[in-house]
Amino acid sequence: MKIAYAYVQCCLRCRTCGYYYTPEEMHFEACPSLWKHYFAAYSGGGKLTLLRLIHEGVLEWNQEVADIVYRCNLCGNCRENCYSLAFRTPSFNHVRLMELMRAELVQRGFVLPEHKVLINSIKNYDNPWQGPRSGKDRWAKGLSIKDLNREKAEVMYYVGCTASYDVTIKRTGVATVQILKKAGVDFGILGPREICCGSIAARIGDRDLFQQLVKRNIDIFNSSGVSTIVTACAGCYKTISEDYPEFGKVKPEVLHITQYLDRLIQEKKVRFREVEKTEVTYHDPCHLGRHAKVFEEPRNVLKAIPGINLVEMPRSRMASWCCGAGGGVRSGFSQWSSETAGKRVKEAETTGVQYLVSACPFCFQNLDNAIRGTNSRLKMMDVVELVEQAVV
Amino acid sequence: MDRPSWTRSEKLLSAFMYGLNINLSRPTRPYDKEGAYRDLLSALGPEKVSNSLPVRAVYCRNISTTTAEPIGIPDMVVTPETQEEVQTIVKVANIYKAPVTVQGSGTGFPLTICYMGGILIDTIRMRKILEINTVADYAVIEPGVTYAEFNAALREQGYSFPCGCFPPSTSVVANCFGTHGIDRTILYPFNALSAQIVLGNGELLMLGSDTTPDWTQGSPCGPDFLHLFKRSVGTLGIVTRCAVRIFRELETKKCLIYGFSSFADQVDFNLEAMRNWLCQNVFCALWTWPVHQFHRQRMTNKLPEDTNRRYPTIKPPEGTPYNFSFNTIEGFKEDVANRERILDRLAIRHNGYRISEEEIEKKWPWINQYVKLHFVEDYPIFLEPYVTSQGSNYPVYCIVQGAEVAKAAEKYIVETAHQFEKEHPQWTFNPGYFVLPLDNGRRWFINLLSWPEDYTEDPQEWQNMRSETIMTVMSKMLPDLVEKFNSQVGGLPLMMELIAAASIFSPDTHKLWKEMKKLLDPNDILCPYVMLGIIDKPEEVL
Repeated sequence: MKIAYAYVQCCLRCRTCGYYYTPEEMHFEACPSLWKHYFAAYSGGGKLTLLRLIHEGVLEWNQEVADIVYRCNLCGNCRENCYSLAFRTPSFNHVRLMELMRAELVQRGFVLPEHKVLINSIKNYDNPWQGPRSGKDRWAKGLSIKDLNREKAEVMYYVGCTASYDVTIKRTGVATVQILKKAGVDFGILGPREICCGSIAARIGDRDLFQQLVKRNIDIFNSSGVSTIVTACAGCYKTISEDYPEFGKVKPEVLHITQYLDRLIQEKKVRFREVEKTEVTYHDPCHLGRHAKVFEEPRNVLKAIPGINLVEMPRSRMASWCCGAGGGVRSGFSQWSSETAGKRVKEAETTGVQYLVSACPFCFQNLDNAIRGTNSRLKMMDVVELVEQAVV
Repeated sequence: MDRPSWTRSEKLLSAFMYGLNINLSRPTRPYDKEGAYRDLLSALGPEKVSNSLPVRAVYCRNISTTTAEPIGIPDMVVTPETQEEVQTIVKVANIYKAPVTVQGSGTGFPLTICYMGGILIDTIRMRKILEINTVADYAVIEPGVTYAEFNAALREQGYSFPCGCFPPSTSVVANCFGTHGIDRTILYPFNALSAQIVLGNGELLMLGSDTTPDWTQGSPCGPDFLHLFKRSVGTLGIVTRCAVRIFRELETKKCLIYGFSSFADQVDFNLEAMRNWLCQNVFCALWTWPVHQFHRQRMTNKLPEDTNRRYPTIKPPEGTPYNFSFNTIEGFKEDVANRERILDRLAIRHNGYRISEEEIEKKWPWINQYVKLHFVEDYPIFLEPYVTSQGSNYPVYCIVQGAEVAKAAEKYIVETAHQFEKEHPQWTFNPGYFVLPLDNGRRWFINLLSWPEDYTEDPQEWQNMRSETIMTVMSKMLPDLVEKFNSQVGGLPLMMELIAAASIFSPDTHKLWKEMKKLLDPNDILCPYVMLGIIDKPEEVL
């Protein structure tokens, strides 16, 4: 925290963190938290200022501070737009500092009750959704997938907790399996032995639990004998590829399904049939886009499907507006989370497309709810679902 | 014009204030905080009013006080959306005699801080562009509209509005009035055509061309009181709507980059270019800046190989000029071409040379990507020649009388800085300069130094470097500057107030202002004790 304080002093309080801005591409209202609450404390810089004020003794760690710190999607817009160059360091940027603050809050017992439920579930069931361990592979029943606990395969499909337990999301898991099979990929799943990647624990700030999960997962991954781990969850991908290396090396290559599909398409291992002419717009998940800088691959995959026309939203790629689910916001502040998703759905509607497409189960859930909540004419789809419909 | 004279002790105290973290404390004003909060809450709703300590404590600093101790925490923060809501707030404040301070984006200096607590109005919700009139070349906006938002809207219609502040993305346009949220320089008050202002008694006043039925350019018949309110820095009224002059984008815009082998040569070149109106904007970058690791990291997303290599400022690496000068020129093609030729000639006369786009791109690509993008292209046209330089985040400022004295002072600063580097080779000392002609060019405003705090990733080393630099400067350079050059020196918070006070007031103006203040703001709720207090009782402030 002492080190963090030195960096926090570099915040100029200019509020650029609330906007997305380059002279060529200007988009405003880029921070969901600031543009919901309008007080400076809710901006990225504002939250860092809280840390500084705590260090200076003006404030103390308490529930009021926790309420502000947790009202953040950790979407990373602040980090990307900050004028203060000090925050460009890999180890000390807005997102890392906010995660540090959350860790401090958890240690001091200032956790939101909704987050406690998630943490307890991970501790008890190895997943945040209170699903029994034995039910982890129920979605795959009848799909005849290799069990990596008993058989060897080249690729591990790391399903993730949401696709395993959520009834609306499990179809992305099924679609992923169908695509991999049609492409002739030698793959398998861990089934009940697959445990949470720890993303939720890390975002909430339970560092101890996160470290335990990381260590267990690294052991499982490295002993599985696979050369590649593929996941269709943006949160899992970001966590395993970006956060794990701090604690240990994951030997297999880690790829998001869109990256893997892009590769398969280039190697001509995946072919598509012409589909009915459809216009789609792509929502960049924060974990995949701004955090992991995977912008082109999902678009390449969509563009490769004959008949699909990709129309970009005004705020896309680095300027993408968060779906509102990330950073523990959907569980902690569900109404605000839905409002944020509603804004994104409205933006998607302006493109005049039929389908809103994403590559993250969290984005899928939240945007799908917003579509239904706002009676939008849009239909929510995951990239893999579109691919599965067209793949031959 | 009579000016307040500054005693030696005041000058020295101002100099040491920065290093010793002496705060500008004002007497507090007791009032019924609970009552005021209750009334505001019932009038505006909980979404727009907060008295939560973490929410309001964040407003205790603005961009001028990044390194100082927290100065003033408001008792409550309000984010009104309409003119009527601002009037309601002021009326409530009058009932309870609560001080009111207005902040735009919070990037202003330094009078937008609640020195006495009270109510802080954040204009973040007042961001509507109400009209862009391309026939009469004006636009009507609310006070929270930022330069970036405004220029994005104007650009669609082939127009722009000059920006004279940092950062251009988030600073609010209304700061060109200086009637609330004073900007660090208030470069363009003359672009403000008319305004609607909520007075301290809650009444709405229409000024300038707004007194006519339509917003039009130019003054109405009879006296135009608009100028009385400009630069009143929040003490006379709150701008809630304003009309500003907008400018058609010019035919050609070019950025010429020159390199100079010495600091003095570059200063001479810039001065000559400015005095002859050869370019609209000059941005100076000391050679240490382009090699700055974080600028490269920002663009490449990875640390360069030579991250930990130190670059003493005494001598640039082979092939790098001592200073870069970025000169932006705009106008008709022929005019730009002519001025380009003259600037080239001028550079040669001052031992400099023009650096081609290709050379920049090849040798210092981050300059093109970062400096040009953010500090040159980014700034829309400047109507007056304007020079700025890098690294003004943690500066100590120096004001001297007259260009000749300024030049001598600059020379002294550079020489002392180099001496310091020889004595402390482990740390880099970065003397930049930020020359702004104050008061019709007779006064010069110099950025004494900025220490490159992000040269190191080790926070402890950073802290050591900072305190060592401060103490060295405080103990040696500043007293010297005070004595030898009769200058006023200090950190930003006090410095800006000294500038404002010294350059605006004569005793008669001061007297008139006090009477106006009494008339328009009988309960003295708008920014009490900010400017008038300094002049009245400097000993209490200092």
